[in-house]
Amino acid sequence: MTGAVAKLVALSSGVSGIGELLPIRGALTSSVKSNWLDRSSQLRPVTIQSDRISERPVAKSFDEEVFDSLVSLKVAVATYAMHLDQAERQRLFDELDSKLNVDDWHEGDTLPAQTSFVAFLKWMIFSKYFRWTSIGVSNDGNILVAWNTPSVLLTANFAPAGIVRWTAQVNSQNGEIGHSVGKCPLRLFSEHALFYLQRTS
Amino acid sequence: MPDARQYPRPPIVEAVIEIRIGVPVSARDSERLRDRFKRRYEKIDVLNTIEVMVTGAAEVSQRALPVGYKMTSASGTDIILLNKAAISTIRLAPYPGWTTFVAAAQENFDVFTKVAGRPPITRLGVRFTNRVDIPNAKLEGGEIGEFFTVGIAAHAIASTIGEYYFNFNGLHPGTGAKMFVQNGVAQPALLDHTSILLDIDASFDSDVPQRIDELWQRIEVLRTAKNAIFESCITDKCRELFQ
Repeated sequence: MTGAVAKLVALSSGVSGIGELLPIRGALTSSVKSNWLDRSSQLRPVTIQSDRISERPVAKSFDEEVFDSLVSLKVAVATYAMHLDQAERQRLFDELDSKLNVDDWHEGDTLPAQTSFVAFLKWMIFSKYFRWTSIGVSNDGNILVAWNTPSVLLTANFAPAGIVRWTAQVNSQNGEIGHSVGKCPLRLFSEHALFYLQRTS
Repeated sequence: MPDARQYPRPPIVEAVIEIRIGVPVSARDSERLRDRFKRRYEKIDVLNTIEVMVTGAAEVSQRALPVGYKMTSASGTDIILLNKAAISTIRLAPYPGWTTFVAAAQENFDVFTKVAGRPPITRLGVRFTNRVDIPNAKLEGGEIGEFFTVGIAAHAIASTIGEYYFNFNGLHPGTGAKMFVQNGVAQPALLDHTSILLDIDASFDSDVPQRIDELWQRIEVLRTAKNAIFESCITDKCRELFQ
């Protein structure tokens, strides 16, 4: 048999996943890493190396899944920590803690998608508008966000692919009420949202 | 030792202190370690390596072998990796500073030795992954080389350079630490930005001290090396992005 065993090698073990390099990093780095540590591995007839630890989830209780989901959203916040001040990070954490708890979630509920939450974070940093009122989760796991100002109630559903479905209720000074809805990519939603949210009254 | 340069918004997305040992931790000790760390790192993932066997007849079989645990704090920012042959203390952004980070690593290693004893230490590693988010507007008409002192020199064959990746290893001249540096374009983290990763791993895998006090002194040396490498790899224009 000419089989070869996968090895854990080279770099100090991080959890990365954050900021994967764009090119085929696995292929590039595994060859170089094997050079670094063990040049003899090149001489083996068949070598398939896995230099990254895989994670295989074991059966978890629903409570654990809810907790894991909460942690995964906080990890997403960490990814953007250098673009969010401490007060904003804490506000996000408090909101997530209040919304993602075992008392309010039940077996069968779809937990929030981290990619949807990341879309919201990207939008918030891009638009530089941090005054959201509340955060929720749709039935399909998308992040829902509401902004409430004296003249506007704006809601948005952030799909993981970066598409936002939004509604706006505008109250005029003389008591008239107008409604608008839309669907657009993150960048355009910034324009739409700021148009409403930056109304003075 | 002078303090390292401080940045208000450091681009560090992941910091790692890894201590590698020469005698694998037993499965029983691995479970005891998991239980000891559970209060501080509540989210537990079992780590497996996937072993792939390819035979001459092109038959492929695979199996998962448990090798340890990845445990994450409730805040999502502090992680410990327990492998059979290593313990890694990991901090995601926001980076709290070296003093806090190394104290966590010391505390974790102290718990580790109380549970698993004092196996020979074979490697010390300090790895910092930085992600620099450059506004595309700052790149228009310029090039990434204005932000990094290391890069791809391919002007003779390419008028512009888009995505790229490279790595190199060597010895850091000031400390003698081994270094492995990776640099390249990552998935953009922000809209209208280009994200560049600068991943620095500094390590010692020979003459590794076995005394605790000397061990942490050597890790301080690795810190010095990784800081020096980082500062050497970036330009003032890059520093402006996280001042």
